[in-house]
Order: sequence, then structure tokens, then C-alpha cells
Amino acid sequence: MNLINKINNSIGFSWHYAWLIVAIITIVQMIASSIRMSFGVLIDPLEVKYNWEQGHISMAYAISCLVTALTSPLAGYLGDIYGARKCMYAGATLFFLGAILTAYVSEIWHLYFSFGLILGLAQSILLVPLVPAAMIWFKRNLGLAMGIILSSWGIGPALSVLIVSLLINEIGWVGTFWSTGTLCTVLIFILAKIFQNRPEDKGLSPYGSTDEDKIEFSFQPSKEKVNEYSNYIKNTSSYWNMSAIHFLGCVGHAVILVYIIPICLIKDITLAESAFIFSVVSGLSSITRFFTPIFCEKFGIRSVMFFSYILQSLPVFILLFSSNLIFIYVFAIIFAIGYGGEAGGFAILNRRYYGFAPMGIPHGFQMLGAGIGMALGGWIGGAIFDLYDNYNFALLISILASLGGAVCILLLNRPNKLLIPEWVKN
Amino acid sequence: MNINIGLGSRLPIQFLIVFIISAIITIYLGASVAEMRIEERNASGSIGMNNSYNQLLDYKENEIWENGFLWACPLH
Repeated sequence: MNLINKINNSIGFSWHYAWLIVAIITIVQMIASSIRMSFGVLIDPLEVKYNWEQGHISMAYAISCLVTALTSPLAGYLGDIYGARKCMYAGATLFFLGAILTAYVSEIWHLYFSFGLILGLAQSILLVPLVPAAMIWFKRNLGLAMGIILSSWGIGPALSVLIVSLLINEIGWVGTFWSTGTLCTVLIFILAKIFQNRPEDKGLSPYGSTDEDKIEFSFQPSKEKVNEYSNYIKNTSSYWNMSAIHFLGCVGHAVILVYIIPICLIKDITLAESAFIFSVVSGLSSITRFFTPIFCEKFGIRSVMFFSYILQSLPVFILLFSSNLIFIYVFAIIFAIGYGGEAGGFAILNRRYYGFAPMGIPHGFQMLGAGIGMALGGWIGGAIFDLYDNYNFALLISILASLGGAVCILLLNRPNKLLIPEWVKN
Repeated sequence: MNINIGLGSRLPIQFLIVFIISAIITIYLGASVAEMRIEERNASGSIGMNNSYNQLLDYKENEIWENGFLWACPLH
């Protein structure tokens, strides 16, 4: 009963402009990831139209992931300096440019440039500064806000795959990119118009703040202050270790997400059943992605993150040793809970460690770790299959990466005080 | 302004360990895959007196990433 009360209190809700900010960020994040996350449905039309090899086409996706990961710290820095609103305008312009150029690709390097470079850059500028921007709006109930934003990461791709594949069939390649590029850009511009960088810009205090809280965050730091503070943040071990933890977590689940269907097929599970197992993982993880930040606030960030990493790790042994369909479903359910919870605690940790300081740089660096982890995990499974004709060693790496992340979480600083308290006073 | 952040001087040991182990695994696996691809190419398409014209056309030199991994890995 006490547990239920705690959860109910944590999702207590009253109207505030901050919730509109969360809604805007959720929609922009869904849009920003739409074209890239629906890459799977773009492969076939390109292969048919230009006779390009699948490996060469997929390289555009890899470039896009890498560009997003490598430019994440820069995107976070730009968000701190210029504010998330200007980043939304810049990101939307790049998104439009990337989409229109992709509509007219005729050589493979055109695709690498438009889809890989431009849309990859647009994605980092639209995604990275927005999470720290949401954090500024919340003194309390940050977990609920983060839960809503993070769950959009699962819903966006699911919707975009359906819409993009439908559009390609109905209006063709060029029409799809013109329509999605134009509509999404106009929508982001409208949302950016309503968006406010800080509560003070709207004459408000952050959601759940009291009069004593105001001293911490009532100003927009200058470029010099942001640079100075980023140097202090980089001198804390948590800045580096959180990125390493996100990296390990992403290696751990990327191996599974990319290769779960081929692994199931090897175990003589039908393609339809394998796809359903993947859907169970995706669907269930969206739910835990929503609840994890709320649980982190209530029951301790490191504990919830530790158990998420353990739940992402240990069930992979089932996949390693069993071919029984019921056991595979048990794996899928437990793994999804862990996978959904993997990323949920980072924003709350950032808040506890760095307070209301400019958060773009640490968040960007964590996204760099995550992006490299996703790329490496995705690559490792294929490389190991090429070498050994099975995925066993890849599954072992997935288990060890998640366990390593769990151990690193235990070694993080206790999040019960600010790591740079004098920043607030100065 | 000079802020004493207390914990700041501590080395990020976990980060360094994760970085080094990940780099070792990546380089070793990348070099293994590169070696396997090169051996496969050599076995199927080695240039010799008996090669057909098509086999000669299919012959490919090592790719940059293959040479890069082999150069970086001391075990390959």
C-alpha cells in the first residue's frame, strides 16, 4: 500500500506551462527520429531503383548514427549557449534540407551526404538539447516528464515506419520526402514558436518550485559561464563514468535488438513468431521507459538503474542456452523491462549531480556514449557471426556489457548532493 | 572565480577501463574479420595463369578499413 501511495504521489499532476513544453519536446523527438528510424522501409525501393547493394545502402544508416553520436556533445553545447528554441529552428532547417536532398539522390554518395551527414546532424541538433531544456522546467516531477519524453522514443519509430511505407507506395520516393520533409519542418517551426527556453521567459517558476528554490536557476548563463562550468563538469568522474555506463547499456541491448530475429530463426522459430517476439520487446520496453524515471525519483536512482541493467543482462542466458519458445518469451518480457529502464535514470542523475546548471554538455556526452554503444553492438553481432557462424559470443558480450554497466552504477557517486555546489552560489 | 569541486581530481577509472577493453575487443574482432575476408578473397580469386577474365575483373584489393584493423592489431 505504501508503495502504491509513493507511485501515486510521484505522478501527481497539476497544470503548468511545463507540461506543454514536454508535449512539444515529445512531438519534436518523434518527428526528428521519424525518417531515420524508418530506414528499413527505404532499402528496398533504393535497391530496386538504382541496383545498389544492401550493404552500401545500409552504410548511409551507419553514417547517420555515427554523425548523430559524434555531434551530440556539440549539439548539447549549442543548446546551452543559444537555447533549445534556436536549435529547433536550426535542426528543422537541416531536416528539411536533408529530406529534400534525399528525395533526389542518384549516386550512393548523395545518400551518404543527405541521409547520413545532413539528417544525422539534424537529428542530434533536434534531439540532444531538448532533454536538458525540459529539465530546466521541472523542480519536481522531473521523472514523470522524462518518462513521457522517453516513451516517445518507442512510439515515434513505430508510427513512422507505417506512414513512410504507406507514402512510398502511394506517392513515390520524391513525393514521400517532399511531403514528410515539408510537413515535419512546418510543424517544428510552429512548435518552436510556442516553445520557451526557460520558465523565466514566460514569467513562471519551474514546476514544483518554491520561493527558496529560485536562487538556483533564475538566469540564463552567458557563453563564458557555460564554458567555465563545462570545464568543472568535465573534472568530475561522474561526467565520464555516466557516458561509459550508457555505452555499456547500449552495447548490451543493441546486440539483442539487431539480431533477435536471426537468433530466433536459428532456433527454428518461425519468422512471424520471431517478429512478434521483437514486438513484445519493443512494446513492453516503451512502458518501462515511461515508469523508470518516476521509479528512479522515488526509490533511488542507482538502485533502479542497477536492477534495470541486471534485468537486461541475465535473461540473455536463456537466449544463449534455450530454444524453447515459452522460455524465449520469458526472456523477451524480462529483457524488455531491463532494456526500457536502461536510459531512464540518466536525466535524474544529471539533476542530482549538477542541479540546474547547463546540462547540454553532460547530456550530449552521454548520448555520444550511447550512440557509439549502439553502433558497436550492432556491428559486433554481424562480425562474430561471420567469424563463428553463430551468435553465442555476441550474446556473451551483451551479457558482460550490461553486467559491467551494473557494476559501474554501483561505483557512481552517491546522488545525495550536488557535485559542484559552489556553482549555484556563484 | 575558482571553484573547489572536491571530487574533481579523481580519475574516471571506470571510463578508462571501459574504453580500453572496448577498444581491444573492437580492434581484435575487426582484424579477425578483415583477415577472414582477405583469406576468402585470396582463396577464391587469386591471380594466376589459370584465372578466367571474369575472375581477374572480380579481383579486389584490400579495403582501407581492413588494412587499418590489421595495422592496429598486434595479434594479426
